[in-house]
Amino acid sequence: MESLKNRLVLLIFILIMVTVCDAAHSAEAPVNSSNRKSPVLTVANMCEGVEDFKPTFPTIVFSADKEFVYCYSKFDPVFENTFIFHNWYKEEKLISSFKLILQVPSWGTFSRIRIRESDMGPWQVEITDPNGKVFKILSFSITE
Amino acid sequence: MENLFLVLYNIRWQDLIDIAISSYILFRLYVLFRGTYVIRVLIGFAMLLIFGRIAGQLELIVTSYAIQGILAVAALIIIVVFRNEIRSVLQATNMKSILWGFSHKFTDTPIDSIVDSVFELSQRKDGAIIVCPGKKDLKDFIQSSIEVRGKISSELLTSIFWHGNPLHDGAVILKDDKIMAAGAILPLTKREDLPSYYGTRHRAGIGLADQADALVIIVSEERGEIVVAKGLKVINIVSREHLVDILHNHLGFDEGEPEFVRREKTRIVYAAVISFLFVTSVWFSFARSLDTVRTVDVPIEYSNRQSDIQIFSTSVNSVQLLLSGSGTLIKSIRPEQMQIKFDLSDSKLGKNTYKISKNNISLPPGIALIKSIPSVVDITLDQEISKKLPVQINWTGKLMPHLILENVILKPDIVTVTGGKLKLKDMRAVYTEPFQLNDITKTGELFKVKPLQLDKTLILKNGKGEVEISCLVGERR
Repeated sequence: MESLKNRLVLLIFILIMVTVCDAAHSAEAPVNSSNRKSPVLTVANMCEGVEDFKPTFPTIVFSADKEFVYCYSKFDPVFENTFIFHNWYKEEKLISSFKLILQVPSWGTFSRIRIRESDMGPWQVEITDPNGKVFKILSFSITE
Repeated sequence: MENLFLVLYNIRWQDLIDIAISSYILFRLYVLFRGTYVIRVLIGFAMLLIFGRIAGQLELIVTSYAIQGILAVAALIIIVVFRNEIRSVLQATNMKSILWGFSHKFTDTPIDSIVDSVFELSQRKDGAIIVCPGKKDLKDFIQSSIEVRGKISSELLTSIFWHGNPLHDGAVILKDDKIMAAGAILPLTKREDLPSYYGTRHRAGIGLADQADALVIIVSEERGEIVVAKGLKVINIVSREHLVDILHNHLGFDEGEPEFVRREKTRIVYAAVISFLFVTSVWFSFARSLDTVRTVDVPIEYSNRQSDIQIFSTSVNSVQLLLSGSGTLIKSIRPEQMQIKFDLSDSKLGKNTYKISKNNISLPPGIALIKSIPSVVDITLDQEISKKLPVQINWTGKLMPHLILENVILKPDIVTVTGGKLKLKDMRAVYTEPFQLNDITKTGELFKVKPLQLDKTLILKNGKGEVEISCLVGERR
């Protein structure tokens, strides 16, 4: 009888613990879910090229002699397949916007623009998630 | 026509007083100096003034300047030439007479006796010169004479000019009811426009009339005709009434004579009306003409702005108004007498364009707006906000080919800027003054301080308006 009583108390205790843990888990769920969905930006560079998925000659000034300007970004970890945007601005004007895919578990990606004579001046690339949250703004200039 | 309505609409009470006082002064001048040459000369100057205005309107440059030159010395000429007349008027009259009295032109000269004797002499073909002086003293013009001081009578006059009388060749000088002198020698005229049959007697009589304000009656010895000379006029007398009329005009009437009272009243009324009309026309011409043009810089004022909205920029702070009006008014206007006001109660955020019209401008009376420069004003209204913006270097020039600018660290790298919401909405960075890449010649770290470039409508809330730049320069491999 005593043994049955002890077993019942243990069962109730287990049930309470399971309930509490479940409630705690439920409370943390949105945070974990959010973290899981948002990739983490680890590398963001303006560069003269990308080789083997790595930026080459990272710089902040590009000569108009060059053919392209690259913006390289690497996310680690990436919790789920998603996409980001590289928005290219010349001064206040949005020149182009690139939608780039990110895949789990980590992903490096880039966008580029062709340099023209009229592009000389200060530029920015804004790296955002699909909701418009800004990861980073990279500034650079195109000069003679 | 529009200008006329504008002028009439803008007449002030000061203008009416101005016209009234000026008219009265002119009227008093007439009353005081009537019968003298001063009035004639004043009329001459008035005509000159009118011609001057017409010449100005017709853009006759030389004529206009010449008339202006004459008028500039007109006051001096009048005072010098007519000093005797002015003195006699001022001495003869007291202050009351100068300001509001009427010195009626009475005479006690027996006009009928003079006319009787003149016609009798004419009938008898006895030559005669009878001088009735005006206000001017004749001493300067008469070379010699015999004093008579006898009471005027037809008999005495005819006897003086009887050809057996030793005094019959000279002129008789009358004053009031007396023959003051006889046998007077008068200056001969030099005029060449007189009939050839006029002899020495005519030339002497006309000579005195030319120079003085006297009236001279001349009876021809050869033809018995009667001539009256006054000023430059030579009048042939055709009847007794004609001569009586001329003498009344010159000498005046007997006091209490109904004809005299009627004529005096009519003359005073005419003079008053003419003075008023003349001054009014001159006033309109001078004070209300739109012949002078002037440009005035007037600041713009804004009213009824909403409390949370600010004026961030305006295309201009002041407007040039091209105004026209009379020279006197245009010269006297001051900028604070003029206002350009815009009501911002119905304005919206952003750029508002307002046309400058007569409704926005208040001008002093008598001044007309020709145009405003500019004709529209752009006003940018905005709400003030603060925004954090990254600092970005404005790179220029060319980096040496073997170098690469790997990184740059800015201090501060973010600044807070306060300004218009619309202005800041699309602003993505605050740029530095240009940084010459040609200045970078070697690898390693390079420090530089550059001021920030900021639109004048924006205010930097933190920092000193400059940024410390630390560049990391590598070698391209």
